[in-house]
Amino acid sequence: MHLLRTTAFRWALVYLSLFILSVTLILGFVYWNTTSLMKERMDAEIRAESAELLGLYQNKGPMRFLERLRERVTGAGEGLYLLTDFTGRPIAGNLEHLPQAAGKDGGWVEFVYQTRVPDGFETHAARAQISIVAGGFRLLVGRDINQLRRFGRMMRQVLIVALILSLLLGLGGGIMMSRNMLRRIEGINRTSRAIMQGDFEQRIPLKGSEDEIDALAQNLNAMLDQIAHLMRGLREVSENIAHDLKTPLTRLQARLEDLTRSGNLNAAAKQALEESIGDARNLIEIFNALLSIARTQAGSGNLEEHDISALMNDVAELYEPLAQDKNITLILDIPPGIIATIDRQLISQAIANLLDNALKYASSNDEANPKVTMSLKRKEASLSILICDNGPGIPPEEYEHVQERFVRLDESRTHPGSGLGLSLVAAVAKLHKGAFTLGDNNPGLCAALTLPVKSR
Amino acid sequence: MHILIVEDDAQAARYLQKGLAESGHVADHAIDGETGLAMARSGDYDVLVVDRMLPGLDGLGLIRALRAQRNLTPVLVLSALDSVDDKVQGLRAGGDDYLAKPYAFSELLARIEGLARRSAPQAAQTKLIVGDLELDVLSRTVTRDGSNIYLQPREFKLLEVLMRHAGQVVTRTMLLEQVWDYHFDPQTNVIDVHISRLRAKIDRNFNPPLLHTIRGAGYVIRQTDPA
Repeated sequence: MHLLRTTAFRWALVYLSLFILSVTLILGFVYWNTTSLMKERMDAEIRAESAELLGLYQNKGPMRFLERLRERVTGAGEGLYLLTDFTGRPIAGNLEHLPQAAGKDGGWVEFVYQTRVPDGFETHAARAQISIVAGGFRLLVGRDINQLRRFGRMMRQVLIVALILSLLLGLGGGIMMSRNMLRRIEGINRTSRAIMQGDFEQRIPLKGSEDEIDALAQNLNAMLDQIAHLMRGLREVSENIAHDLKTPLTRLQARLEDLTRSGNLNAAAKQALEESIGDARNLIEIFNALLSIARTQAGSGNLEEHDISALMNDVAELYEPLAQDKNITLILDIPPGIIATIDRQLISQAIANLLDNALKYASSNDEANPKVTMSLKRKEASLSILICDNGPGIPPEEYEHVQERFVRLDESRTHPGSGLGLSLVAAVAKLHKGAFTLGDNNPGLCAALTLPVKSR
Repeated sequence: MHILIVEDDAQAARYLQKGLAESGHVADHAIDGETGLAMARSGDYDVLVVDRMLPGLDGLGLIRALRAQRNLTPVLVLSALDSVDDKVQGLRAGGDDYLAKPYAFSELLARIEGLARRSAPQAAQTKLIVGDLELDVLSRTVTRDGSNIYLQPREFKLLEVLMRHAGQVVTRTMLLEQVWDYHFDPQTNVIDVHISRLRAKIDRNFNPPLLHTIRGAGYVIRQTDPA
């Protein structure tokens, strides 16, 4: 499973977006609030100072006004001051000239100016109020706003850094959280897969933290224990049934056989007896086939390396005379020397069942030359045993259905068989972790038994 | 032949005894494992037929105890358990052959007779002869009445198994096991077709026929018709 597609990671992303949004809002608000507050305070200072100076001029006359202005300029304050005549020529103050943006009528202005620093000059930003004193004389009172600008820049940088940091931390945390989650979910998945492949002893590992996933795992394990218990019970019951059914069947067969040997029977009775023996045998065969399927489904098989090409040829050879008797062409396309790890008996039986079926149905093809093809195809990680006939085939919607026990599409049941052959093939495929599929041979049926093999 | 049946189902054992008697054998019966072991030790039996599931000492335990005392009487294990694993277990414990319940009497008889023959001291035969039919295992040739008969390898093996059991019934299951090494029964009776092929080669142009079908049981190769 890909990390980024996990639920945990998606949730982490949602939380991260919400978090970033709120960080942005809070920091943005702080930035906006602080800068505007500082600007308002400065404007108030400037306004108050201008008013004071202008008041001095009106009440105490120009000399006091100039005196105070010069005191301010030479003082330790950070203020910017300039008094000009009606032509704009400077009379007093610590600026060279009025800013170009200044109008005739005064008002607020922002500008840059050169300020003296220990090793030369620097260009600084400033904000000032220009007022008309009298007779076109203008007074500028201002403040250097470089600090304020720098503070704003810093705030913006803090905001960006905070955003990047929270993005990284959030992503990292999300990945860590989802990886942790994924590891634990993967533990559950691994166990389920092992169980599906027949290892019913597997249980989900617990972390011991008693969190919700541990609780889930505990419940699942308890459920598995329960199922295992039921399965054991079922197996015992079916073994007992097998034994208890076989005992009377053995007697039945022995008694019937004994009767046929006794000799003093008329022909009708003898025939009835022989038919009864046939029925008993049929019963036993069906019963054995069922047991064999159940065992294959529950078992692990006797897996060894075998030459599957030779094995297929052997089964083909067993059926070849039968095919010839039925006038069916048996075509083999089996590359030699292909090795696979299999249960020889079960795979032989599965191939025999498929071939048996193919021969049965190919022979019901009256028009064309009936023919059955047996082929073996080796792929990278699997091999396919294909057995195809050109008989009537079966409708595709029945492909799954016919693999179930006792299902026979042949309603009239003219062909002998118990309807268990394909069920066994399906069970054998499953035991080998392979697959059993049916397909159309246009016309006819193509049965494929696919087995996994170690890649070369 | 003297046979001991160790079987807890008295009724089944009675039919077995009766059937064996009709075939010209003498059969004793033991109802449980301990009695069976005691009888097998004291008596002089040619073959033991032992049910696997017995009250007290079970069938495999009985066989192990016997083998521990160097008693090598051939044993046919009967069992309701018929998976390959069960068979392997039965044979490992010292059983000589294994037959799953429910069985056909003919199959049981064929296997008992096969066991008795196997235990009889005999030189490894390389030339099998039935009437005028001769099979040479070493040169892999078959002749009848002096003329060569060409057989496919599998047909040769089939004839060899039948001739090694000459005069005895060999069942289809036994042939599948011994000629093809298959421990399952195919749905269609394919063995019959193989037999009729073989019969066409060894019997068609000769007299009398040697390969006979025993209805409901199997096949036998012998000189005289079994009637």
